[in-house]
Amino acid sequence: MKKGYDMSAEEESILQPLLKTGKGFYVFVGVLLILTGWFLYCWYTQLSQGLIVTGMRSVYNAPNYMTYGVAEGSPWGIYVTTFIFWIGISHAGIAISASVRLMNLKKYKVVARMAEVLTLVALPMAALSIVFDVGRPDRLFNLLEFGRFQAPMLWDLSAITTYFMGTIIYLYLSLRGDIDQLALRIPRREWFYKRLAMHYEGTETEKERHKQTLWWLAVAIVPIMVTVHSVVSFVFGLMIARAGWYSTIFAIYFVVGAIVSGVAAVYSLAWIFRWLYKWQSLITDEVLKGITWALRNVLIIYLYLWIAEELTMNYMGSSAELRVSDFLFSGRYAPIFWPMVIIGFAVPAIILLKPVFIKKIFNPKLTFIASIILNVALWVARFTIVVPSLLNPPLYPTGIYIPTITEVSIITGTFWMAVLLYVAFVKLFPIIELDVVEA
Amino acid sequence: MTKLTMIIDLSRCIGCWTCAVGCKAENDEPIGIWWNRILTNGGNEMDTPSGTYPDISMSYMPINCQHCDNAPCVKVCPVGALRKREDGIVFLDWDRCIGCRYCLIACPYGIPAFNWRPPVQSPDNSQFRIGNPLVPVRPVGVAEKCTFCFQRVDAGNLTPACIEVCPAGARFFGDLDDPTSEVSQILQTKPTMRLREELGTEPSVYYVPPRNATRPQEVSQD
Repeated sequence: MKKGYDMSAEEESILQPLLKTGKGFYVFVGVLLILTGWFLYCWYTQLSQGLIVTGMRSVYNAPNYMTYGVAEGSPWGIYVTTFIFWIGISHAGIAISASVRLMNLKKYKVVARMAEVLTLVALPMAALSIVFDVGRPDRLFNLLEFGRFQAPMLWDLSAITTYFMGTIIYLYLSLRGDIDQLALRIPRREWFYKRLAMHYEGTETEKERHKQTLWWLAVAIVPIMVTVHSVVSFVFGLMIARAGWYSTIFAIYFVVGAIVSGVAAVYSLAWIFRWLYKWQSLITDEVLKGITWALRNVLIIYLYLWIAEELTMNYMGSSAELRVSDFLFSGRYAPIFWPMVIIGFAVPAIILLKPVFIKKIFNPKLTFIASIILNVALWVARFTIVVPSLLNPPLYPTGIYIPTITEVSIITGTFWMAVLLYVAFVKLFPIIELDVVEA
Repeated sequence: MTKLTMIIDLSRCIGCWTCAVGCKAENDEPIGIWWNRILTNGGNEMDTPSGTYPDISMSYMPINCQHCDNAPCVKVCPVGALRKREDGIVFLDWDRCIGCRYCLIACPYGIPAFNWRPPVQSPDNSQFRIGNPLVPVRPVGVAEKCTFCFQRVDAGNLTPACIEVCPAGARFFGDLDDPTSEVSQILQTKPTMRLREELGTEPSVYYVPPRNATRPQEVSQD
């Protein structure tokens, strides 16, 4: 392992996930693999039997006694909800990393790569959620062959693909120097790193060139990032047919919501790594405080937009919009809606706002809990955007949507796969940029 | 130019569902899918009178695809499987549909239905097909909806199945661009309305309002 190369203590600390592998790791990965296997089985069930295994149903299925058990329901369900969720998670990654680069925030460089990898892992999961959702995944290439650019879904496809490619290039360029270094430090995987570094020399000109390209990529990626979530919102916000969706605020609302969930996810990750690898000296309280500051501010903007949206639906409301609003406030979805508001929004908001008023109380662990709650709450928030509007179609009676176990297994499967991919990355590459030490 | 138009006379409709059943037989619709539905003004259940006793009235609202001129489903279909034909039919190409169900979401009338499972017909049609042989078989995982019986229209027969079977003579079908056609005559002589006209979808299905009743309301909430 040491083979003629001496690492500094800090470098060794950063590289410890690559150097040491404990028993706990194998157990963790084993459990994840079993869960992923279960997910694959459920997906196979869905592919072979059709989407009947989910809880989704058409808008109208005739009076119940004529339908042989097929009830009215929501044509989209937790697959689409999870699609929005993963897009949201993917948001912060490059956002944080690019702003670190553009605004030269050296302090936050330690979390930049964690965030980038998060984007890289979340985007394929978002794409997969859509693959689960469509009835004919075998015909997905029709999107390329016959794609119509008037359709919001195609905007999604193009925006996400662009974002994904941008992220890969961005991550690779920022990683290339480190990979080259790794070849020296971990000789047993030298062949792998050498090939991956693609003849990186490490000269000053080369470094400068990488830095410049990355800066320009960051400039390009920030607008793409805003676009991605805006077009996701257009899938809903442009639909005049559905009460509760047709709204100008939607693009902003979705983008801000995405930034909240993304920043919260980066905080959770930073805290987990700090706790797992004892990186208190690298990811300092100051860094966590900075992320909390950002999270707090975007959360306030998000809640403001959320209140504006809910109020608009409820206050005067066309009868159709009021129907959706009542469905949430006092109807069948109230048991989901109010816990989301109180536990999901109010409690984290209080936790995050507390240090503003009472000085010097910053509890990283409590903020970690708040960040996890926020992401769960935001998933529920997307659910309360997508499903209630679909369950209350104008002209028709209110429907029922209960996700099945298969559906839930498939959706949680994306989560296990995301964790697996992330773990694989952590085991192969340094999750903190190596030159953080030099700076 | 032809502009195919349907008129449903609600003052004649008796809510018997014959049009729906005729449509189902003609087009081989699987269990759970109805291209034609007859809602009752007054409640979610079938044959619910509207109003409070003794001031009650009974009227129906048959809904099939409205074949909008400005069709939201055509706009949002990502692969162009939904197309507006020259003669006004909004046609769904079952060989191209990827099953994203965006048309189910975008349609203000809740028309498209989805094949959630491999289609099962009743009576079982695995031995011989009951429906019109010109109608393509829909596979699992695609949406489907009323086609204005394009197979009949293409063969020069301007009588979709629902028109043919309606026992009350409440349905009319024809070319609106032909001033002598039945539909043009009715549109000129009777008051008509279209569903959710305020959305600007320009439906091709017109309704003659029922007698002794206000204009068809959205189904009320219990």
